[in-house]
Amino acid sequence: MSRKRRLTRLAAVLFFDGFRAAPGWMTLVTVMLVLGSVASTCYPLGYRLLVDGALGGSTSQVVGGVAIVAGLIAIGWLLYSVGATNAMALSDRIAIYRTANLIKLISGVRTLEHLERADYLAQVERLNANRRQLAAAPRTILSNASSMARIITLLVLLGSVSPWLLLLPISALPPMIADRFAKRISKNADDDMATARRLSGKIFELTTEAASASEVRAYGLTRHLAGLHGKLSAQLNRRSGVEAGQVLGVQAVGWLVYAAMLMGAVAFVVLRATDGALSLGTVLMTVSLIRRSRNQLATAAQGAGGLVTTLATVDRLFWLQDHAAEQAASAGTTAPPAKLRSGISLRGLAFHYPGTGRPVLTGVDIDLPAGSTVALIGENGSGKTTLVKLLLGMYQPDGGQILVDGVPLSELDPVAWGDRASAAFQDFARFQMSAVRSIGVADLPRLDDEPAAARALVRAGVPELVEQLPKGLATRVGTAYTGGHGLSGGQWQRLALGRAMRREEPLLVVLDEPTASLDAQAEHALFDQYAKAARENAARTGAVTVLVSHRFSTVLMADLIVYLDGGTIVEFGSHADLLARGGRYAELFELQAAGYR
Amino acid sequence: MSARPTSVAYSQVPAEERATGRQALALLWSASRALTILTGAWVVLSTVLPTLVVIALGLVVAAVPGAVAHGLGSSEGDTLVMTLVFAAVVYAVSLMLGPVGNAIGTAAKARITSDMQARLMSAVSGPVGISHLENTEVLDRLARAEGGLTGYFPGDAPVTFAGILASRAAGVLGCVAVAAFQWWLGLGLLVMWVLVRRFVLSAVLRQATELRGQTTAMRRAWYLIGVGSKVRDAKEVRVFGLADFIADEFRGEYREALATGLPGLRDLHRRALIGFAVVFAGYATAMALIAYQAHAGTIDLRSLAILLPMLAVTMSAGSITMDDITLTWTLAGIPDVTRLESELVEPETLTGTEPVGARPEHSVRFESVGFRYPVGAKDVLSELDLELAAGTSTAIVGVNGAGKSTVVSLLARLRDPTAGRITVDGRDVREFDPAGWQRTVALMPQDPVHYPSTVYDNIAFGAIEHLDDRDGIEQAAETAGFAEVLATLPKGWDTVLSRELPDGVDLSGGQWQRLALARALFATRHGARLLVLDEPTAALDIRGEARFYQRFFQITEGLTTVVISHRFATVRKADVICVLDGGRITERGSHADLVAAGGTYAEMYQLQASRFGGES
Repeated sequence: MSRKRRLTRLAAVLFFDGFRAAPGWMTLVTVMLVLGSVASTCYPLGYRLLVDGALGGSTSQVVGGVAIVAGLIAIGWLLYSVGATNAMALSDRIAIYRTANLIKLISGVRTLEHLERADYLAQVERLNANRRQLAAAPRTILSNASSMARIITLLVLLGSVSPWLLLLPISALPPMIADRFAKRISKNADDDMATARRLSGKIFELTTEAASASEVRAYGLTRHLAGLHGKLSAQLNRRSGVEAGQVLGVQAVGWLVYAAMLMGAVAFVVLRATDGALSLGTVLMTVSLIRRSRNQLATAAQGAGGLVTTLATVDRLFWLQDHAAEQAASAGTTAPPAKLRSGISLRGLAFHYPGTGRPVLTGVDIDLPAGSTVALIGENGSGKTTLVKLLLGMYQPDGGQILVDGVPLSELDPVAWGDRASAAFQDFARFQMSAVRSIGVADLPRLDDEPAAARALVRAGVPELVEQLPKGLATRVGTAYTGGHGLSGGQWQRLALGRAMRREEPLLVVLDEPTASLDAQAEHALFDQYAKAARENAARTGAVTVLVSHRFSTVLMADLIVYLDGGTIVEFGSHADLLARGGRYAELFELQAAGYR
Repeated sequence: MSARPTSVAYSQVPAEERATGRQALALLWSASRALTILTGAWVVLSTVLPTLVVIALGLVVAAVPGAVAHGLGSSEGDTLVMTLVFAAVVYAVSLMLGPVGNAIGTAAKARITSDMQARLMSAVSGPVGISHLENTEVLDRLARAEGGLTGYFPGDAPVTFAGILASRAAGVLGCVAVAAFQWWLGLGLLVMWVLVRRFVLSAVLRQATELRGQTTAMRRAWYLIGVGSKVRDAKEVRVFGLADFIADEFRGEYREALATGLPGLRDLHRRALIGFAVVFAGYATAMALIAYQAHAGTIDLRSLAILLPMLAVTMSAGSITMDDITLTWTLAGIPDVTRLESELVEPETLTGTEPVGARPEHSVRFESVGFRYPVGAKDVLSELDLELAAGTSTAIVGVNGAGKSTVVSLLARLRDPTAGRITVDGRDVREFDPAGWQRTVALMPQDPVHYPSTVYDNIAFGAIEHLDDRDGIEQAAETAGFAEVLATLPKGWDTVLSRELPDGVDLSGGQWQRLALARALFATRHGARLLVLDEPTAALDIRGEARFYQRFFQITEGLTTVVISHRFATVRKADVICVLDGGRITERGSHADLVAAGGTYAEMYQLQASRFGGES
């Protein structure tokens, strides 16, 4: 990225987006900060007028002095008092804009690498955790600008007394250098304490969360855990005491040097006055200015420090934006077929998760005929879920191709392909909104269509859910926290299944262990109904249904069973074929069947 | 866990329950006497020094004309030099206040935070059961008191409060200094500042608390951020293309939340403008009077040089800063700690003292047990009768939501029945020491606790007093099928099981399930006599499950076992099978009996078995 482009981007994110997000508030805060800096710096100017006027007998000077001091102090107070609130109001409004964009950015990327790859996820999480910094940035910049303005005003006033006083800013260096040392000390301390902090936080969680507290009670571990927590606390208290002492020492030195330099300046002014070079009013003003310069310098140093941490967050944002742009640039543009004719073919498919060396899929080669139901089976880590993610376009294969009626998936428009796919997962989402919407998000243009949602539940084999909700499909679901009706795990699952069935013209339906926690009867009802829906889809659009499961009860209804092991297909065929073959599938089937004999 | 709020509203706290600065200081006092005294000294110095600096510099200015008249070498010149040195020293000391305050803050925060955590842990560990940990009010209080979720920690409250105190006191002292010259002027300024501050502060705090009152709309907005940015819902967000939808919904909810604050914001600005007019008028009057007196010669130069800057110092008595807002936020959690401590006390009727000993010798019985969750509309269990004969295994089956896990939690006294009773060898379980009874139950929950510690410790936590029983731990691991997992771990027994710790690794769901079984078995080796298995094979693959039910008799040998499962291959191994339906036991018997009876159990079993061509 060119330097200029980076600067433009930085300026937009850090500052100008503020005007786009909240023009009125940005203007108000700008005006207030400018006024505030003038007011808080210039009022000693009034002292000079007042003193020299009163002593010299000039009424107009006195009136001017009174008006300047009273007016500027009152303005300073006013802006100070409402400043924090207005800053919050501004940053709230920028936060809306910024966060909405961040949501679009994070969830608009069709692939999952940035949320699943550990090092990428760490970046995204830190970006998300610090997004408030971005919302606060325009105001931070404004207040930095205003403290610069204060310092310049201060220097102009001091320079008018004597050019030597322009050297005063040098005095800011010792405290700033000390501050840098202090930051390093604190960072070291934080690093030292990180593990103990995490552990003691974890112990707190285990003791205070219902699920873990049950087991903690059953094994009588309360006191043991409290003891561990106490030990960790003592360790942390000691370490942070040391940190506090070291930081204090460093900062004290910085400020002492500063005090010496400042008092030197005061002495200089006073001695100049003894030569008769300065009026008494000027002396009073200058001493006042010098005394108050500490506040300006401290604010300026703090503001600059704040921006440095914000810059790291901005870099993460740029990284994510570039990642998203890269993903979008490589996306295809071909529209998917209206109806699948031949089906979906996997050709020499290979994949490893970016950032890891281990291949998850190698040489996967198979045809999933249009209109068929395919079961993927295999043990944990065999690559079933990964294969599903590739089919749904959440990752790009490293080698080989996925062909949709002969067209490579990478050439299809990912959004359009997404619109023709549907899925339910074992770790299904629990969308806390009205039930009709929680289902309807699968078909956003008809989000609130209750009959369509009800039909989806019928297709999913769970129509009874509607009666279980106090206000039917209009019920807002999801805990008191978002103000809705609490659902059981099974009810959430039924909702997720309804969502997966909501699209009426899918080309691909994925069910990745969605019934893992259902009981036998519910599962049976679901599959009876589901088989019917799958046949309807198959007839209408040639849809391929992919089931992931390690339960044979589910697998049995598939037309084609694909047995994955270590990322390759070891066997495939119909249930009867595979049993007759007497291979791995037959062995596992026997193993489970034995439990029922 | 989904019910856990990520942030809690301050405005939900009734006013009479809001903490004061004094309570914050009490917190500091109990955390560290030395730090409290240090804080006190800091407040005093922070009050006095700003005024002293102004006075010292005023004296310097006032000494100038004398030195001008008589030269630097004169005694007047010496006075000037002396006052300069004095001012320099006072100024240097005043600059130390900031760093010292920070140091006190760092040390105090660490201590108070760990103190608060310890108090909270001890408070919630008070009750025998865990139902209080599912109570939204208790959870809200916990979240607020702990502070981590809002980012405002009670640990910061005392020092923030001390800062405000010092700043206001410095302002008041400034007024006193002014009053020393003109009593009515000092008094007038003080009254003005106090009134103006009160007038505006209330509106600022209302804005700071009620606007961020985390109304339902605000919480929904936060929820939506999670949907749009966490991996949790990422797959479905992509499959259904929800990026724009979530962003728009978020924007709508947040805007709605902010809209409620607008009238308050307008009120604040109106008040601030009135305050501005009052301050301007007050200052203008004061200055004009001073100027008049200076002109008339009724106050001398020294007074003038001190009085004028002192007028600005008095502003601290009436200024409103971010600290005022922060203080309210950090104080919010303090009353919650005291409330939790006073409310989470188990009634004596429920805490017997009788030692449990080697029970059960004969049986554990549920006698007409009923149970209803506090927020529930209907009974989960009613008139439930169930006998667990000592030394036998009992399987409980039923559809989702039938109350199977509730039975388990009643058995372990994690909850108490709302009707009926549970007896152990004929005596009410509440007569026994509750902690002792809980130790009699070796509980393997559906979602076992992942202790951030080594494999060895994770199993040893089944009976922590026997940490050095290495043989016992190894044997438990072997029986539970964990030994083969152990072989794959980088450091064997010493492998740390937490990704968040250095060199730590995480186990898969199935591996944790085996470890949890080992933990339970280790507990039974050291006194636990009831083995409770809640869905012990749910996360295991086909081989793991087969291995489990093949070893079922070895695992449960000599114990009184309760197993909950959907997997009939496991269920049928139990001596007695109970069907739980509609809150009571509807069928009871051996596998063969129940299949022959052709009831619900037979139907459920056949549904699964038929897929394997199994007999009925």
